[in-house]
Amino acid sequence: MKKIYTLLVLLLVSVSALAQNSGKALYRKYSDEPGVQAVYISPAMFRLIGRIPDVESGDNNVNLARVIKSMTGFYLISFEDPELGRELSADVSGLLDRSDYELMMEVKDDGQTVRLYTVSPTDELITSLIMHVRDQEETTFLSIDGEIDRAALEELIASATE
Amino acid sequence: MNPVPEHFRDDMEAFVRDLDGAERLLGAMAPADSGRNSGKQPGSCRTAGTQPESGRTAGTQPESGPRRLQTAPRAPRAAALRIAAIAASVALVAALGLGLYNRYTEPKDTFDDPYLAYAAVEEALSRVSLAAGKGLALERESETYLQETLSVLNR
Repeated sequence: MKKIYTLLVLLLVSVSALAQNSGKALYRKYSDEPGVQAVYISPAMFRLIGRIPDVESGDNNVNLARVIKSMTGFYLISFEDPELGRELSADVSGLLDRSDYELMMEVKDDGQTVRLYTVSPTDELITSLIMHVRDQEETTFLSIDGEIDRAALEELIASATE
Repeated sequence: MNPVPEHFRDDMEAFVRDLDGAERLLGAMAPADSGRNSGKQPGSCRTAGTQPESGRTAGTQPESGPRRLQTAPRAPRAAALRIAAIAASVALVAALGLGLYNRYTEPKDTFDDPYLAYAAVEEALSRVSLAAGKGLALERESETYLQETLSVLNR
């Protein structure tokens, strides 16, 4: 009986390990499809980014460098195929059901739907952010992993409304 | 030695089946007219169903020596446990293999230059902030209408 319990615990641990980094799983699935634009930035590249001096970003007074240097993974896919868009929407829904993502914001405007989901183990930290944009012409999926300061992200969003 | 009551005899046999010296004990518990020697060693009695000096009754544990009550394992349950263990092991190995495959087959970086990667992330974050900002702007606009409605209601 003890062996069965041990095996079950190990199985649960391995399954939970597989459940992480779901943005990578979706990126891996869709990035090679025809007509898909994909951008991937690895943790190693973010470490290199962390070493470059802070760059002032145009008129934006918000220090994006602080947010960017706290990231560890970046997955972006974008395409115009509506059938693929439906399939991606179903995958995103399945992903959200299995994970700890919370809907942060949903905006519907001019036929475009934008949904922002986050994973926040604490009130001050965001460890994963997903943005799913869908309209009649284009579908975009963005996944960012890291240890992002929530206050910095809110400051960034607030600067966009000014 | 007192004979074992008839209604306890089946229970007693199951109890001593896997114990050491079971045959000897069963022989010792045989009826008096069978003429069999009990084979009981002095000081090592492990009988059940007798009336020792302590006054224990049939079916109780003896005072001397350790005794393990073992019953024969039920074959279907043991087979089911074996199958469950094999299935769990296969699933564990498959999950670990898939996890290792995902871990060690990273996608290729889109950019070789960290400055270009930085610019791409910056643009993406601007898009995120614009989308979220649009939502906040819509919320503020609706709040204005809500305030106007409340002011009319409160007149």
